[in-house]
Amino acid sequence: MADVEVTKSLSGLLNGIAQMVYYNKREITEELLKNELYPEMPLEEFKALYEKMKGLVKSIATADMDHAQLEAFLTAQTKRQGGIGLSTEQAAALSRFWKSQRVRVRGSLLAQSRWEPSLRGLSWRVDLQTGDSYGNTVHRGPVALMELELGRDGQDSEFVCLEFDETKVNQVLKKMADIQESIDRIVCRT
Amino acid sequence: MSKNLKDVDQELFRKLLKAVVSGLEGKDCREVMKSIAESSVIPQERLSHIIAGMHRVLSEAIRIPTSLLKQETFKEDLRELRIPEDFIIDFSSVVFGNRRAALEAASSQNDPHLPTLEEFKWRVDVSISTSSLARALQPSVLMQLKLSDGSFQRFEVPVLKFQELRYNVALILKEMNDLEKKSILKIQD
Repeated sequence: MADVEVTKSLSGLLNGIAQMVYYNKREITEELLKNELYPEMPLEEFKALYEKMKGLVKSIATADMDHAQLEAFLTAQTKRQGGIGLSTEQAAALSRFWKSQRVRVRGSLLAQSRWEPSLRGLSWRVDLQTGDSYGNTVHRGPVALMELELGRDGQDSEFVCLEFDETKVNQVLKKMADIQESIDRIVCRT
Repeated sequence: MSKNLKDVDQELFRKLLKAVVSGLEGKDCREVMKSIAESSVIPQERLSHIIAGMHRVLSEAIRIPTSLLKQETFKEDLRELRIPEDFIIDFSSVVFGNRRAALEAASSQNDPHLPTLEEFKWRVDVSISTSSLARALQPSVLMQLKLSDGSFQRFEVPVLKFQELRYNVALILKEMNDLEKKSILKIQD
């Protein structure tokens, strides 16, 4: 196979591995990847290639390697003897793959360790009560209605609706300033 | 109510009125009602009519703002209902007296409304390392809300989402402040 072909197929394989392992694309399978990318290759050879690439991608992802670490790692891999080493084209393909996919893969890995539902979205409005079934309420003032969208990775959202008067909104805002201060302290240190 | 109020003396009337008012304020008045019923010569059925009538008159009167319902008009209306004069004075003192504010506050608690926030606890975490990522170093905010309907909501807020949340809350406060300044608040009938 010409070099360009080798690289293209390998890039395709690496992307396919990412789709399966990190992006939850169930329609991508090992069989599909072989048929699409390496139809001529004997099955045993493909399996070996697949496992090798998958192993390398996982090592790189778990360590969240930066550019320097990646280069060192790939160089070490190319120097390995006896057929388990990488060719320079393969190393280049891995390097390109990681440059483009690092952020997304990292995001997916972080999400795997998030067990509480997370805040996905927020909508709100401010109302003014003019009347109700009991009596005069003009003196009550504006009311804020907030809808929080909460959900776990891969699951449907749950919506929580709350109402706040002005005093409450003020209190919440003050607490948020405290939270921000706390975050700023940490971010400066790391 | 008026025909049932015949031969009800003022003392009994006042006891009943007091019980109805505390009922409207949200207090449990079953014990009081029971003791009145037991100690009175008036049959229970008549007492029930009286109490229901009082409740109705008072709740309707409280509904209307004092700027619209004048004391004289209220008294006239009660006279039309053939309620004895002494009792009219008692009714009036409840509706226009200093217990009015408490009654209004209690009745507004029954408005339909969404749950409100009773308690807001938070903490900021930094994930150092996880089973999927050796070096995570990711800060995030964990929030726990206790709502007025008794439920708890616990959720994580990534840092970027938190900025968005804080910005929106500040915007809400600004909207509310602006609304106060506008004359739309001074709605009069």
